[in-house]
Amino acid sequence: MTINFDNAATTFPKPLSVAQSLCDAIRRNGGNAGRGGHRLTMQTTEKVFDTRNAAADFFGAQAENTVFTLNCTHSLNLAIQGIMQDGGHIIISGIEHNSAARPVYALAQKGVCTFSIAEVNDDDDQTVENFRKLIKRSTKAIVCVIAGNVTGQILPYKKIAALCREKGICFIADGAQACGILDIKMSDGINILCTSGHKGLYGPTGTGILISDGSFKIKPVMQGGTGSSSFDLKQPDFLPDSLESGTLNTVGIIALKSGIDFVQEKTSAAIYAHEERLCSRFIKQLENTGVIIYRNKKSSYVPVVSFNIPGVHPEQLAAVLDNGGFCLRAGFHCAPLAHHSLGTKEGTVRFSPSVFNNEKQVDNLVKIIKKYKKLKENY
Amino acid sequence: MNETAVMMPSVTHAMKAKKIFLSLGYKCLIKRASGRSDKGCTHYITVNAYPETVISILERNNIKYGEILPEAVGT
Repeated sequence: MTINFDNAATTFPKPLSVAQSLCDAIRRNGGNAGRGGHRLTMQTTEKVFDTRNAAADFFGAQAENTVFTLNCTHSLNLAIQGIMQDGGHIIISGIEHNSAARPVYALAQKGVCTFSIAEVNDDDDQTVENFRKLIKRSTKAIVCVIAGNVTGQILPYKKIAALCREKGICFIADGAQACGILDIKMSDGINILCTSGHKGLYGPTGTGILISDGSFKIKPVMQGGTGSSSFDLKQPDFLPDSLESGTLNTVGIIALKSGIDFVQEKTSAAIYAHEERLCSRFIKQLENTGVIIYRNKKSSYVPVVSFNIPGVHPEQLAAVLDNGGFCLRAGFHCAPLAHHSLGTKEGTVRFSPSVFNNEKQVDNLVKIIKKYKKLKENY
Repeated sequence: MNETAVMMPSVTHAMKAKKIFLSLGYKCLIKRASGRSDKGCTHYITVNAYPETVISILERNNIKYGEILPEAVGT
């Protein structure tokens, strides 16, 4: 028996429709989208466009401003490097994933830009104020998660977007933990939305999305064949071609549409409600047991819960749970800034259900946690 | 039959345009324009409508487009 409670890393299982779509795509859509004019390529191109259109509709964007990438990290690198390559100052949050923190740090190390880290508070207004205080004349962008991947805390992203609009700076939102769960729209004030296809959108790994509202030019960091204007040695300067060089993960993108359709049919609200119910059940059953749950009453959360048993290394606990058939991720979750903010020097174990998990699985997981805790106490 | 051929910046723009023209009841095809453009590989659309109508629909839907090809493709 294998029960996945590490859906924040990637959702598994995937809907059957996604698996079928992937299989169909690899068997039938063998053309290279946008290259050539023969029927094989045109059929594949149409399928890729269908996904592009579906993603655009889902987030309230234009299809031509919707770019396919390999994952959210890829999207964030394109966005951050594309906006900051001519210098300036950028602000990240104190719970940022390395997918944003590292490219920012790398640019700063090269002397291309400077950066500041805004502390995230339990109080949303204080968090916004923390961002505001760091804005200077040279600030070009704020990049932050909509929801963190360690505790699931939802940031006041709409207020941060409004702040960026007020100051004329670019708001780059990392939607990896939020898309497909919260109702994220470009009209929330996001200038560039970056997300994975393989988490809350239930698509295959190797898919990601970057959506621009067209307000800020994203300079390409990679050049190559785009199937357009090929006599011109200059990279096209229009989306999506400027950011899509080389062959796309066509089969992944085609299957991603099935994932988006799945989420739309179920609705993000229903998915969020189901998963948060499981999180509440998990938390409630561990109340007063001495297990540390990293949530506070003031903040809002996506369905992700970090926890620890005092005196037990998170990796040790995760190994025990794995032996019991439950897959949870332990450690720093590629988000050292978040753990630094939490004060969790050894990391945490993270519980992140999906729409395919159920109450019985949660109950059985809690049984093992409680049993192990008791064992350690008596040892 | 009146037919207009319009160069499109990318196949994505061509696809978007085709979807809109089809939804409005027009016939719209996407073709490769490699031999008809000094930009190399690119795509154009053909629509069974007058140029003014085609351009008007493209502009109303904020779809970027290129030059209108000098000769109609024909049916």
